Amino acid sequence: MGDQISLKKMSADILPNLISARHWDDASFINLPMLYPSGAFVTVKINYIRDGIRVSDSGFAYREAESYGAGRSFANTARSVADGIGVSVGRRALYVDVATHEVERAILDISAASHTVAERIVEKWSFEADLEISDALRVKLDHVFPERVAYDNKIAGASSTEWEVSAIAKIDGKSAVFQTVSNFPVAVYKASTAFHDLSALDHPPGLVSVVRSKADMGSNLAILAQAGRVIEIGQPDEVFLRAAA
Amino acid sequence: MQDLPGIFHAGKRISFFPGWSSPEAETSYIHFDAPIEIGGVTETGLVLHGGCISNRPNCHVSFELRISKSPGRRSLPLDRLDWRSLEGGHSNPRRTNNRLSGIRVSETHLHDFELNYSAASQTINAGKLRIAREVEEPIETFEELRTYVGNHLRINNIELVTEPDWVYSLFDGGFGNG
Repeated sequence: MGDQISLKKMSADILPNLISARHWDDASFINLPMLYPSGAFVTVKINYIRDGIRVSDSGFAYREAESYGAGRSFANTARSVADGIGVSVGRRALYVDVATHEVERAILDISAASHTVAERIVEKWSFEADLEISDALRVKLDHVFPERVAYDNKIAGASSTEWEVSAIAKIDGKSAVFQTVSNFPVAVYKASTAFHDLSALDHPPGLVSVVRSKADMGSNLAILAQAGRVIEIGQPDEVFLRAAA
Repeated sequence: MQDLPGIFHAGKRISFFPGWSSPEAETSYIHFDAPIEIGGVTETGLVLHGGCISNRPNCHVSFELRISKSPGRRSLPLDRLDWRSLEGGHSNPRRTNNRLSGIRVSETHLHDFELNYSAASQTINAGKLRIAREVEEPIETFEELRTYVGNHLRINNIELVTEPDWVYSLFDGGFGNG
């Protein structure tokens, strides 16, 4: 305990950095202790309008999306988030106009909305970004199992839930499911859930997750490996054959 | 798959600088997307993106090298420098197995390609420039920023990028007071 910094001092040192602000005569920008997908701090702008204060995210959520070329997703995503929180959506920004006594709450609402919008858009983009693996998988499977593969089909599990999977190969009278999985929680849990359900069938198909890199998956690799085999898209043909066997 | 390290390390030129856009009505954001060429060939989807806020001079400028696989497809950011960001700096994620894990960097920082590229997956890790470091030299003016970006990204004619059309207020001394 002797040389330990006190928690009180540690907190006092950290707290001023968690919230900060930049001021102009016409507006202030307030940084909050939440992070956009880029790692930048969620930021709101406050400025006077005719009958009160406008609190907005000044387009920062839109910029997060736009940096991935996903700016067109902003309008719909922002509207659905804004409706739930009770803020408004412009062409590029989330905002709300309030009386002075409501500014603090408005800052919390706008920051929450802005953060949620950015997270949803970028996560969806990241999910779709692995279209490249899907393309590569199609090329690989057509080569390894020529004319024996169906793509983007559905297959029912033991729960009767129909799961859409990347590919189903027919080998010697048996089926093998190949599913591309990107390194995001939604994708990992969806694949894992589907594979657990499929493995509970009386005659389960082979189950193979195809990832870009096992090393990059981290602990998600263990989750996938509980329910099926895991291979990398760049591995040789014989790995695909072994995985499907 | 694209040779991202090859693209990043190659000598580049701006094929055409379109000028800064008009300010967005709501946000006053202005930007440009300049196509980039390597070895005389303008690469598909490779652009230098620049952005700032027109009525916030001498701050919040970003330069980002980004690429999309084909026109209309989503973009992959490769490298970005944020200068005097109004978003209060950058927080590096924990557990990244490098010295920057969990570290906060200041309002001027570099999302360096080398910190974010994964050789194992041959792409930007998780598709995002999650890791940033401090810039190793002070950058006080837009000209210095432009020069730094040109050197870092190996863009040999970066001087084509003009200073933004900032709107200077009579009541504003430039960078806001913290």
